Amino acid sequence: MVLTDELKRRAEKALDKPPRYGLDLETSEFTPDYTGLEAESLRDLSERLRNIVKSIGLDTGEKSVLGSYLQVDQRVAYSRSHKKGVKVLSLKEALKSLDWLRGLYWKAVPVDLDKFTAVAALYEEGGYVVVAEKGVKTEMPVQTCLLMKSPRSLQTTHNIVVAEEGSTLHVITGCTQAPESFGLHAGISEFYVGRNATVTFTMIHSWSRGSHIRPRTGVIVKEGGRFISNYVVLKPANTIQAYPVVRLIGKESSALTTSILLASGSSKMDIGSCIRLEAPQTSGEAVSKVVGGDSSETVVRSRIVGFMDGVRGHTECNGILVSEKAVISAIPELVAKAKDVELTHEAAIGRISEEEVFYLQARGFTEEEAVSMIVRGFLESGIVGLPKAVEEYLKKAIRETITAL
Amino acid sequence: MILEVRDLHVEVSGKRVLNGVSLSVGYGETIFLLGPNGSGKTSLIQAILGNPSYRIVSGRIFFRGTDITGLEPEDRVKLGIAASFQMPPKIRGLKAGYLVEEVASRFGVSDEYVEKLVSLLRLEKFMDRELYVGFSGGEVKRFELLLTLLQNPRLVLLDEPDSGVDVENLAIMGEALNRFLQGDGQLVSTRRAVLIITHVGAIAKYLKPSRAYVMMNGEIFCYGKGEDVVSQILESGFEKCKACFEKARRRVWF
Repeated sequence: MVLTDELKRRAEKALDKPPRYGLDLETSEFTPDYTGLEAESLRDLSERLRNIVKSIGLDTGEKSVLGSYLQVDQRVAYSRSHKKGVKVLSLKEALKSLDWLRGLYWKAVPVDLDKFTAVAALYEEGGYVVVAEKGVKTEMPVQTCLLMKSPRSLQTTHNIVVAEEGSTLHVITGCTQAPESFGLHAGISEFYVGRNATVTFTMIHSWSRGSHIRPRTGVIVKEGGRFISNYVVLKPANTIQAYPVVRLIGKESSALTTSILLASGSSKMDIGSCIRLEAPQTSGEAVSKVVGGDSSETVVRSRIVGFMDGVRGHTECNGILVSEKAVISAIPELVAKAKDVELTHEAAIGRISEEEVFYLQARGFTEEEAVSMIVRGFLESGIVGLPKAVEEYLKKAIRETITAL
Repeated sequence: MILEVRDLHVEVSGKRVLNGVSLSVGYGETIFLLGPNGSGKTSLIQAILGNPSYRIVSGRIFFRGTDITGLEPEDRVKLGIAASFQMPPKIRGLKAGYLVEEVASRFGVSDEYVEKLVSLLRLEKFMDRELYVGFSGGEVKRFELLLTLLQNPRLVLLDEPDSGVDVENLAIMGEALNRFLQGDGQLVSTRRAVLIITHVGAIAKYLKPSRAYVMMNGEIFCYGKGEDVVSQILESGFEKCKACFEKARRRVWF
């Protein structure tokens, strides 16, 4: 345990604090599992685990990545960087070796936000720290994977990503689990984007239907920095609630958050983001693409707050329903706290276009194939701002999921 | 006959759009279907394709002797019907090149043939684009023709290939169509046919119609030898055609 007494006290006080959004859960019903495993290389994993992590696109040969982190339940299985100037460490290692990290620890996400930040703190064990040193620009991503394999387990993780001044960093995170596993995932992610640095963060969720996912994410962006996140849910869990908060505190910094959600089964998702335009000439955009299938219920939130004159924000939600029983709700919120701000939103939700389906049928595809092609195109068109390799990775994941539906 | 439409009555959202249309297309024929805007030409094509928005009230459609009136659209396509849409939908995120590959592989068309057609229709640079997003009118028509020919059909239905298209685009399309009809694909020309909707007849410069039909108000008004009908319409417009029809109808009734 590396928590200070103060953080611990605050976390304990928040243990029963319900979340602001999404379904509440009894966290004590889930138990952390520390059996885990350790691996010298990702190739050492059992064939079964290797196949599970490969299914969300993890490169077990590590040829196309700068470094990797793997956590199994509560245990750190592997963490390594293959690139000078880019660190990939477990949280515990990093807090020991990087003395400045203490200054960022729990600074972007309040430890007492709700019961999920509280359990993540009190059961803090694993988590990754990725650091791009000053001026280091990379094209290839760092990959991280959070895997749950024990039933009824609680997985916590505390990740910190730091892009120092002038650096470029791409992080891909895959969240997945063994088919028999279900549980509660409470993950903390803190991002610190330095002056004129860029971070792209791509998260792919592929949980099993019995799981409850409660990530808590905070982002702080300094002058001229850019944060791009692609939050992708292709195989939804039982419930997911996420609402990352991005603070643009340096002038001319910007953020783009995109949620790409394929809702199926009886999943309940409440996903959104908040972008706070706290410095001059900052700009933020929150985009959501949602496909509502089966009897899924999806709430998409976006909140953009303009604190200064001359800031710009835009939020956009597009949803298509492919089932009679699915529900999509879009809740855009624009808050202007200064006179000269420009905040806009647009939202469109509707049934899948019959005209498009028929057109593809007339090109020889069955109705199901036509729907798949349209859904795939709709979701893929939401992917922007990523390097080619990451874009391809995401598109492949979307293609494979939709083909398997 | 490759296509036979018998006394077809069709409704869209409860509104009658075809009132007893009968028409036939023989093997090896190039048929023009002329008529002013809103006369029902597109409705006829959509009904032949099996668009569920076009409800068939009565009448039958036969393709190569088989009644296809109740078939699913993709099954009609499998039998050998392919159409170029007048205004196909834009499909965001769907790469034009991906659709080309999928259609070609589905209809067993070789890569060489795809390349040849793409080059002939000058569509190389569109493969990475989203389907019809930001395409000009002429580009849409050329791409529709590409997809249609890749289906290696026996019956080609072209819905206004010449509207909003400049002379250069039309010449490119005319050449591709002529090559196709002369046996450039896998079937010999005598086993194929084309039904072309046009209200301006500009395509006639590149393709000679064997016969032509004229439609108005959801009915076939007259038909005859291709060149005769086209030159009549170009000369006197549809009004004269209408007057002639009214006269003929009166003659029958009284």
